[in-house]
Parts: sequence; structure tokens; C-alpha cells
Amino acid sequence: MTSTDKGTRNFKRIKPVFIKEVLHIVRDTRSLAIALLAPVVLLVLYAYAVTFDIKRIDLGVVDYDDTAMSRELTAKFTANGYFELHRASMNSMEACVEALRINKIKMIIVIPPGMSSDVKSSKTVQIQAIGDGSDTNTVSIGLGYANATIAQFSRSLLLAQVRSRGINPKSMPVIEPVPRVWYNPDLKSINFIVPGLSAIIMMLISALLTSLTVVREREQNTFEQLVSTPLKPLELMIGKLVTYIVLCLVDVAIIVAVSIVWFKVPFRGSVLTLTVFTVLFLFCALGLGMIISSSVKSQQMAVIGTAMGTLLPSILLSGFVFPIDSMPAIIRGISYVVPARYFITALRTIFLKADADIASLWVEALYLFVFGMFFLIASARRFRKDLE
Amino acid sequence: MEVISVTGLSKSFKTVKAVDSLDISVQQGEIYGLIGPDGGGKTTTLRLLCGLLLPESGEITVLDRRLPEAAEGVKEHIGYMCQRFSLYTDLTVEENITFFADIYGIKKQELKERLKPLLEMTRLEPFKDRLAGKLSGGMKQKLALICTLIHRPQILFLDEPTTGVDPVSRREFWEILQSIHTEGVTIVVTTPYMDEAEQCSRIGLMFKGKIIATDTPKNLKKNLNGIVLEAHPAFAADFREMIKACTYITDWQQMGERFRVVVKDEASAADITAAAGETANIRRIAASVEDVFVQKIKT
Repeated sequence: MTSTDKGTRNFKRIKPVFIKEVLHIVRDTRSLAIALLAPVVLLVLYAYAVTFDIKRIDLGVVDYDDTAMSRELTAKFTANGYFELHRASMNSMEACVEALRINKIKMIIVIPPGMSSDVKSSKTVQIQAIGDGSDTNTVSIGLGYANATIAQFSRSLLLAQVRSRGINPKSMPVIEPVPRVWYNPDLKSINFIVPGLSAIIMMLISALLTSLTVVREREQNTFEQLVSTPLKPLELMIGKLVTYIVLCLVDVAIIVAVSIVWFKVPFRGSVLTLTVFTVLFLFCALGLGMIISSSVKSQQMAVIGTAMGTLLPSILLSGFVFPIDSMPAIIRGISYVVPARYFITALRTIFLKADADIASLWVEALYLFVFGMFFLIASARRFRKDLE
Repeated sequence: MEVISVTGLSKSFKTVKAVDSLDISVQQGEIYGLIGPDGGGKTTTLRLLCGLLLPESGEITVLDRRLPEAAEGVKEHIGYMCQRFSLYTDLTVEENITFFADIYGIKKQELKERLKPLLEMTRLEPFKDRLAGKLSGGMKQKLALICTLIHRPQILFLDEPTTGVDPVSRREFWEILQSIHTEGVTIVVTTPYMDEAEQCSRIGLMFKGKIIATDTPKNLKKNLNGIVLEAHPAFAADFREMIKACTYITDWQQMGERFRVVVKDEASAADITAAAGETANIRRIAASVEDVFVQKIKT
């Protein structure tokens, strides 16, 4: 009369797991300090480093004209802070080319001889702008600035001409575009970077925290005792997950506070929407860490695996820097399974758009929920209740 | 009543056969000892019986439940204490106990009632608030024992509970086991120490994945094929040379000044006594489980 008694699932076992995990966290003051401080340190450090507002581009000017007008033009380049003249005396083409070669400067402006006399005799003058194509991003923006600077200079000359002929410039027909950017009117990249960076940091930190939790039990042999009890994998996973969700919510609260107070990022959405999304996202990130933790053999492997598995995809495939729409179809497909993608979209929306609610972000919410459930169940299944 | 029944159990790790067609039967209320050297398959056997490893072939029935299918069901009624310390070192004695009690769903009031005698018996009461990592080796083992006893298991599995524990604590630990035993708990224990075999109601001698003999310690010793003598010779070196040359000596061991000698039969015993002479001070002593074990693995 043998039976195949499978034991009973009992979600009351989640509570002792939660209490035990809280004790682990509270007792390990050093790790706790890292868990709470690391996100802020990373955010402050990288928010300043990662900026798309390109300023102070190193520029060489070769002035063959050498007149009051050419010097005025040169001054215009440096007036608005976009360019910084590299050794102002460096007035030879050879020196500039060499400087470009050894990365001392990014661009060269060549003012042709006789510019001012040509202008006075109403001829077209061509100013050469040379850019270092090995740094496409800086140079394409720099060339844009150069274009605008020269165009403005040309326009001011034109206006002077018009005025000298006794015509009121205001009576001339002109069609002008009036660009207006909503939600972030000054196009401050910090408003765009900080929410994205917060998502990436939380992805890393939260996955890292859980990635250690199961493998630590294995390393310290407490795993063997646990599996000999009737505690079920899902009960253990949920108990651990709840603990870390609480800890990470504190992290997110700190990050959001720093974003608003320190970086002056406007927070226009609702706290409720933010909380809902944070919990959904943490569910995903922590679940991912848990899968890693129940698959690896040592804490070192867990750390490496988590860093590889979260950091690069979250930075490259989430739309944090590179727009997803301009990626090839396959890469775009892969980006769908990067949880940070949805959280970044949600955070940017919640921070900058006043009318953002869960309904307007339901697609992101759904994806996060589905991935979260998937990761939780997968990690419970990966957690084998034997020592094989 | 039979609480554990194992037939033809085998388990391999890669190419090593850790457990080789084992048959074990344990009755309710016994202390069953698996005795043998390291690497003999004791730990693997215990893990298989607790449903922590999957058997390769053979039948395991524990408390009328078939393993590995009913492993989760069995786990509710057994206690398992593994060889290495496996509790949370950053939790206090009381927190560790409470955690395991909660896992088994023991109510607060009930825990209080059960814990009192356990803490008294193990004398851990004054250390309730000490972190488990800061306990001595013997106290750690006693704490682990409490954690595996708190849900009143029907069978207690102990994997080398006294390895690395000092002699006084070791003795104390066995006293505790005996008192648990009198309360009716079946105990399955592994140990590399032959002297601990005497504490068991029945033992299985385990060597290279097989049980080479199983019986009560008394019967095993009674059935030893030979006679055990002890000599305390005046000239140890000469005596040593003499017994080395003796063909009818099956086993001998020098212990300081004394020699322990196992011979085949009465005639051989008489021969050696005569040959060694008065100065050797030869007398008959009782056989030990170790004598049995050595004889078994030699044949």
C-alpha cells in the first residue's frame, strides 16, 4: 500500500522566507549600503557623462584672409560655446591637419584668402569645413553648428547690405519655420537621459541582488537543508522576490528623488502610475536575476552572467541611446524581449508627460507583466528540489 | 513495522558507482547505523532515502510512500541533517529554529511547548540570541538537530553528525539521540567511527557502495570468524617481529605498548600464547565492530 503523496503547496510558507530574507539583508550592512547607494552614485556619475548636448568641439581655424571680417567670423564660432578654438595661433593648414590626425581637434574651418574683399564686391565666398569622420556623432552635429554659424554670419552681412540701400528689412518677404518641441521644450538631454539611465541602473542592481540569492544558499550549503523540507520552489521564489521588490522600491524612490531634486527633471505624471510600472518592471528584473541564480554554480558566475545579460541589452537595445525604429528588423525583434525597453519608455513618459496614465502605456504594462510571470515561473522550474 | 524498504538500489555519478544494488530494511523505532569509511556511499544512500537524489534503479519506500515520486510527501514527515553545517550563520539560534518551524507550519504556541524540552536537552537555552555562525562545532550540530526535530519527524536522517566534533560533545550528542530514540523516533545515522556502531540497534557495514554485512552489533561481533587477543609484551620490538612472521594471524594492530591481534581459531590462540611466552602478557578480549569490518573487507 504505497502512495504517491506529493505533499501540499502552502503559501503560508512565503512569510518565513520573507522574514529570513529581510534578516539577511539587514544583517549584511555592507551589501545593504551598496544596494542603496550604488544606484545614486551610478546615476549621478553617468548622467553627467552621457550627454548628447555636444559642446566645446575642438576647432582649428586656418585664416588665409586675416582681416577684421575674418577675425569676426572666427569669433562667432567660439561665441556660443559650441566650439573651442584650439591654440588660436595655429594658423597653418599643416599644423591643423596634424592636429586632426592626432585627435587634438575634431574640425577645421578654412577661410579663403580675400574673403572680405570678395564679400564687398558681392561675390560668393566658400568657407571650407573639414570634419573628422572617425567621430561621426560629434562631427555631424559640429558641421550643423558650423553651417548655422556661417549662415547667420552671412545673413547679418546681407541685412547690413539691405539696410545700406535704404530698404527696411522687415518689408522683405520671408518664410520662416517656427519649430516647437513639446514636453521638453529646451530639448535638454538630461531630461531624456536621467529616466533612461534610471531604468538601466535598476535593471542591473535588481537583477544582481536576486542573482546572488539562490546561488548563495547553494554555496553556503543551506540549500541542502532547504530542499529536505517541504518548502516548494515557487514559495521560496515568491518569498525572495517580495523581499527584493521592497528593497528595490526604496532604491527607485531614491533615484526619482535625485532626478527631480538634483537634475531638475520635471515630474509631471502620477506617482501611482510610476509605482505600478516600477513593480511590474522589478518583477521582470528580479525574476531574471532569479533564473540566473538558479542556473549557475557560483556567486562569481552569477555576477558576470547578470552583468552580461542585463547591461548591454539594456543600453543598446532598449532605445536608451539608439532609436529602435532605425534598427534592422531582426534586432528590433530582439529588442522586444529587453524589459528595460518598456520601462524606459514608461519612465520617460511618466516623467515628462502630464497626462500619462496606465491606459496610455498599456502595451508596455502588458509586456512587462507577461515577462515577469514568465521569469518567475521559469526560475521556479529551474530551481530543482534535489541535489542532482 | 517496516518504515524504510530498499531493494536493488543503485546510483552512479558519471563513471563512479556510488551505491551498488543496495537492500536495506529499517523497522520503526530502530537506530540504524550505516558504518563505513569515507567514499563508501553512505551520504549518497542517505540522500536517496530523503528524496534528494534520484535513484538510477531499484525500489525505495519510505513511510509507505514510493520515492522519488512521493519525495515531497515524505519530506513532511522526516528530518534530515546533512554533513556540513547548513543553517543560516547570519541568523540567531532562535531565528533559525523559528524559520524551520514556520516552514513546517508549526503554530507559535506549539513551537514554544516543543522548543522548551529541546533547548533543555541540548542546553542551548542561554545561546538563543547568538548568531548561529558564532557557535562552537558541537553547539552547531545540536542546533541543526533541533531544527530537524522541531516538526516531530517520524524518521530522523543524520549524515555523520559527529564528524569533527570533540569527544565530549560527541558523547553528549549520542545521549541526546538515545533520548529521542526512546520517544519512538526511528533514526538512520551514518558514521565513519566504528565505536559509534555500539550505539545502534542495527548496523549496515558499507564499503565501496555495497553493504557487506548487516545485523545487530552484538550478533556481528559474535559471528566474527576468529579470536581477539591483547598483548602487552615486555619487548615490543621482538613481539612485533614474531607476529609479522606468523601466518595464522589474520589482523594485528599496535597501540602504543600494546598489541591487538586477531587469530583464526582456538588452536592458533594457544600457539601464539605459547610462542610469545609469559613476558607477552597475552589475554583474550572482546571483539569490536572494527574487527568485523576489517575481516569482512579482507575476504
